[in-house]
Amino acid sequence: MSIKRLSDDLLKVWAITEKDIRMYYLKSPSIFFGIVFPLILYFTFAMGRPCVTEAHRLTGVVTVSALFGATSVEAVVFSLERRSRTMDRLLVAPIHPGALIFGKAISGAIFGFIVAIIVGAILMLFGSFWRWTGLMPGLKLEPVTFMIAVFLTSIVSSSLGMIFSVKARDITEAMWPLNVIRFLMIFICGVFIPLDETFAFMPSAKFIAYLFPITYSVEALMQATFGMIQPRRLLLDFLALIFFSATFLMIAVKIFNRSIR
Amino acid sequence: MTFAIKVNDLTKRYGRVLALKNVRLEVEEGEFFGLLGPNGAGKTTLIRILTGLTAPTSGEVIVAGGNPFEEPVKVKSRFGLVPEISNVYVDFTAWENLMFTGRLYSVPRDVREKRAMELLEILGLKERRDSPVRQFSKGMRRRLAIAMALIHDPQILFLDEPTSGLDVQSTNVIRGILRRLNEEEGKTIFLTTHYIEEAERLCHRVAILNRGEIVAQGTVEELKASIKMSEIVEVTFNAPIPSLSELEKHCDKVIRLRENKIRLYSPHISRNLEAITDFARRNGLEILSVNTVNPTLEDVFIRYTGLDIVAVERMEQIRAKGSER
Repeated sequence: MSIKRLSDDLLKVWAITEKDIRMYYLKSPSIFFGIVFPLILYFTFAMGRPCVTEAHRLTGVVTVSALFGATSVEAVVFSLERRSRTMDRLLVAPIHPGALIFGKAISGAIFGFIVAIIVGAILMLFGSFWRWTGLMPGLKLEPVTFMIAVFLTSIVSSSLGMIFSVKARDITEAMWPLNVIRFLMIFICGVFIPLDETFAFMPSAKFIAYLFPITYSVEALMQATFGMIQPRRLLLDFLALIFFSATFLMIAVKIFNRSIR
Repeated sequence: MTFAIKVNDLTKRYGRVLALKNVRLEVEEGEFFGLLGPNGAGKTTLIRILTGLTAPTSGEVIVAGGNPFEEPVKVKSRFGLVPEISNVYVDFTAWENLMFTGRLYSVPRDVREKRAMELLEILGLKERRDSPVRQFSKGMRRRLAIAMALIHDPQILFLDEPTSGLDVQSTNVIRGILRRLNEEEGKTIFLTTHYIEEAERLCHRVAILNRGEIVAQGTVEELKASIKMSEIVEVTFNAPIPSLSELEKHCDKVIRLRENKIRLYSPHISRNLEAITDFARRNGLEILSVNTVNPTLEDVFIRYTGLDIVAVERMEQIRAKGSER
């Protein structure tokens, strides 16, 4: 592939990303699932589950924001584009389907990243406000690692969202399978409750959690937020997230190519 | 002779439904080509295949010198598509829609800005360039869709029912622009329509598609000449005609023009004159006149599809209203 063609494709990818950001970020499902829903979960666990540690509440909500934000944007974008037939406009343009999918994945990831950072910042600053302790106790933020972990979580989430959205004709068609997988991951990937507690009934089943990308997100975020960085572990988490993202994107492109024929 | 579009033995199946059957057609560069056909004939399927949106089941498709499925990026940069439903971004302004489309086609910023201004001017949208498209009428949206299809200055322009359901003013503006694009800029235009008059006025050549098959193809004059004058006869009676069912057994098509006047289509009209006389006698009618008629494109359409164009147009209008809603 020549440099000229690559730069042409990247410019087209960015045009699609920018258009999606402007058109779909403020749609109600994006706002609800990206911001409102994670905050509701936070307060539910803050009030109803005192056994959940502050660290898990924070990383859990940041993970859920990225996961729900990025996946929901994909569900909104694809179904609305299909309904208004603007998807045909993109398909008839001289752009590879892979680049088209990549452009849309980036728009979802940016949304997931932004909402997760906003929600995370609110909780870090004011999460313990009601207990008059100021900043969250034990907080030892590694900003760069934290940003990378949030971004990779957003990328893997938007790629996952793609798989269920590329064929969807309406939001519900994408949302119901997404909800099954999203809630499943919340409960088995150690998002709010540590994995050892989740699998206390059968410790040997813990490996199941490592079949899902969000487990690696939570691990990376815990390390980046509470100063417990183990470089090898962190690298493994990042590589796993990149691997899942690439795999999900390839699957999404295949489904998309089949759906447009 | 250079072909802008060449289709060979094209077939498309949706499960058990045969949408297109062995379609063959050739469109020369710079030609204004019309595809006429009733609802469900396969016009949109054909245009979707030509533009690379739907893959054919079998057959060969060449558009602008390449196969849209084998070299999609190269071929797609050479044509523009105006679909049946104006798929514009309603949350964007007209200007933003054009800029976004220009970026998808890698049109440099200065070129796309200059061309966008020209297109908005030509299409009568310059004053509304900064208005959100949500506020646009159906005709304005269609004109914007045409501008978006032209922003990268394509060689070929595909239009699927461009004037369907539009008011007279928008229809005239669009037809004028299409003629100008073809005559002055030499663009190849491939248009599907169910308006006979539109095809007759604009197109150099016309193909009639019925139930997935091309049933006739040629210049308007050639198509008219393909029906002998003697195949169309108008009969006037002295009183209102009760029912046409008896005559329909003998002819391809019978249309009631007035309560006492009918038009018959049949390749064996001379043989049917006896049936007409019998029909008049049995119903107590007197034949006032029998005239052969110079065929119009509408007659050609009726002859090859067996459909009444008035009913076809009414059906298409209802469908267009429903799909735009």
